[in-house]
Amino acid sequence: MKKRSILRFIGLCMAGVMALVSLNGCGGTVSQSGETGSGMASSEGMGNKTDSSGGGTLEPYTINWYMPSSGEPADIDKINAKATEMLKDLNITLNLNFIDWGSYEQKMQNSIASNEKVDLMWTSSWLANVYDYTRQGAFLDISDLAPKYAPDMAATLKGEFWDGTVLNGGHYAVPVNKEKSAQKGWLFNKKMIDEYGLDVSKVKSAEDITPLLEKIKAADPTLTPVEMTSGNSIPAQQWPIVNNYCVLLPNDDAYTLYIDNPEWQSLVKLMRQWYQAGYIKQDAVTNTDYTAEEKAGRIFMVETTLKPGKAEEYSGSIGVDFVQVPYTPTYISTADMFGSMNAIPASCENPERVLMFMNRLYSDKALVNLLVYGIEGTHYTKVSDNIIDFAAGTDDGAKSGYNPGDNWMVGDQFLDYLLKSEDPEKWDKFKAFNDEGVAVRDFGFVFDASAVKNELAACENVRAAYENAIQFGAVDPDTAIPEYRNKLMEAGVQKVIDETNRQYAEFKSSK
Amino acid sequence: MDSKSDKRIRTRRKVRDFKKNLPLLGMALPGMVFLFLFSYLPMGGIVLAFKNLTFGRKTFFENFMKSDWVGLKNFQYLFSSPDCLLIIRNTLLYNLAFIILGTCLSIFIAIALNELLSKRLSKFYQNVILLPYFLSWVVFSYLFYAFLSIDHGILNRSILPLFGTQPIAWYSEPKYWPGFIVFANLLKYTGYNSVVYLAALTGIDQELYEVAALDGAGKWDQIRHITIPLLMNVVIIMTIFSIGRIFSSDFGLFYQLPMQSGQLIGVTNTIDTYVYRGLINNGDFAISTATGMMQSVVGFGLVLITNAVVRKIDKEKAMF
Repeated sequence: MKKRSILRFIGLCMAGVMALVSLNGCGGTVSQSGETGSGMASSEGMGNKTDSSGGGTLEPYTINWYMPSSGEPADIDKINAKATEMLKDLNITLNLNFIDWGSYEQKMQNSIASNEKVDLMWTSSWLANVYDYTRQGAFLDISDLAPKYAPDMAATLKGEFWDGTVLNGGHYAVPVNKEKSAQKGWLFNKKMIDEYGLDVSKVKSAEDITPLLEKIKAADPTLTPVEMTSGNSIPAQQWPIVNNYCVLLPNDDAYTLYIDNPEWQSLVKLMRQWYQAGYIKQDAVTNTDYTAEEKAGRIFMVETTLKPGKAEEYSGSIGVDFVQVPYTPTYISTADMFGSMNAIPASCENPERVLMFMNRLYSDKALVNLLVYGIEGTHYTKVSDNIIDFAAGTDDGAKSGYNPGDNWMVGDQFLDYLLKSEDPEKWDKFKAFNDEGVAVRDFGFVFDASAVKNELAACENVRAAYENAIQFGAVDPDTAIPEYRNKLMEAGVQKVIDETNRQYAEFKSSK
Repeated sequence: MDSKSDKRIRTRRKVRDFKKNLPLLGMALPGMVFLFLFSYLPMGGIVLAFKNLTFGRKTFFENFMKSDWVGLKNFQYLFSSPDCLLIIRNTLLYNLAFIILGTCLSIFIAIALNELLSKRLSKFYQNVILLPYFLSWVVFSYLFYAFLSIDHGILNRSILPLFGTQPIAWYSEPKYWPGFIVFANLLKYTGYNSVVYLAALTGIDQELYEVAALDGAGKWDQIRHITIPLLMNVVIIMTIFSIGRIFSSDFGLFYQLPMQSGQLIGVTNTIDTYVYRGLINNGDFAISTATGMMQSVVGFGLVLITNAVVRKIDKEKAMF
């Protein structure tokens, strides 16, 4: 009898441990929150009466600003102190927070869900999704407040940046003033061009690259010269796609399913040829990281979005020289407008003051450069009036106490100093590039997914099963495309397309 | 009078028992607190499964309470999908395979280790098979990749050529993957589970074996008539616990191990990976809560049923 109870006890203990482990293991949805928020929220005063024009002194206010970065810089306190000093006239204490890239999404979701004190947060169409936050009512509409409290910001962003970022009829997030045009193109390995005597000047479309690849493969059969990743495969890049499925082709009046586009299909067939000829890796579908091969100089072409100086930037980060060749005209798409923004959460106590601060990000050169490059003498040294270099002993910024790489996340990027290694005419080229861009036909149209949430989720699972394999040429398109299409139809993609067209018609008539 | 003194005696006995068990209860306390904080407290969040969570109100609690009720709409998502049957089938069948094979293998290993005469060797093997339990699925996925990669993999490079076989594109051939997944799961968890059974085995009185040996029972008879019957309690408890999670799946195993290869989705998509893929873009708390709730409720129901069945057969062996 005694043995029995011991046995039972051991069993129960083990079972208990297992249960604990398993319960803990699936606790992913439990938010880890509620540490800070409430204390600040109860601080009285609110300061709603404050006015930017009123000469009276403003009440002290702390702004908690969240941005993603590769970790918190060592000298963040110094930067905050210095910024606070610069913002004395607004009586604002800046509390800048950098969250690790990998945890930014989750951290912000939890912070917003639990009403922590967040006054300003970085958001975009591709990380910390601005559409979803807006749909869930997490952000504040600043349409009326912005012209009054942030006139410089409104003036700087006038045009596409301001008009193209309307969501639900309001301005819920403010874009960073940076390049707004986009152009698809390729980066080609310069060394291979020289070595194999390739002429990339005649490359106008993907078909034109085939003979070049043929030459490379003949010279060195061990190479797989084409880089293919899910976001940057050639067929995926040609047309701006709404909600992952719908495309508005130049001669159409309505959105259609992207795989029905004959040009997409012919590109996919070309990719199949490349794949079978060994230009694309056999395991392209599971291979997500080409960095090592790029660095070893074994990659000939990279599909990407171009901007002035893209090749130099890329070459610098990889250590292998690339040249850029565009294949689309420069255009301004809606998605690019949402590439990097900052938003004031709806729970913010004093949005007026935050806007007054934001206004400075679009007008105060010293402040912007402090937040981007740090303190002069400590983190960077001036070479000339507008050109700087990393301070000595920081190993070109790698060991700097402040180098968050946030230049494209703070206010007006055109106010940034230029690094010595950069093209001194970078901003002029950017401006010319921006002026060159032509707005796409559906510019300003943003799809609201809430009505077809179930269908989209089902479609996403189908897409995960087929898209990469087809676009990378890993499967026979003649059988795979019809199969993919059938599965999408079963998952309800037609409803998604219809909803997109309904919303688009509404959008057009409201214009 | 009588019943009153009876009651007093009973109370006194309770107090005495309590005092006697105080050290044990003290040991259980941190676990109980943990269980309350991380398992019972968050259960309030189940409300979310029936709401469309929106933000922007003054406090978290207000967000939570004032979001609109949407009834069962959050549950529709899973069942309206054409893949619904496939993912439920995958989840259930894999879990069944894990439970049946895992239990048999763990018991086999536990008994084998127990029978080893050299205690040092036994400890050594125990450690070796326990080791994979501490590796994450991401590490596992790359270990597998080292074997299965199409151009650098050990299988395609070194082993298949020995048999004169053509290289196989492992990550695009679904037919091999049910095997790989079951294998990986056994590799990771068998060691851990067999330790549980081993602990139970060491509690068996050696005298039983000695008596049986005197009566002429061989090793096999001893195992059949002493070891396995005495292990049954633990086996049943462990199985009931596994059945409670039969509707859930080990996300890392099904998402990381196949390197997210699209061509394998038919045999690797389970409820958890399906929801993840469907919601990765919009972080909808409500739908994921609804899914989690459904998995728990079904699991709970199955635990009750299993326990009732065990009870019917042998009351002593049931968990509750």
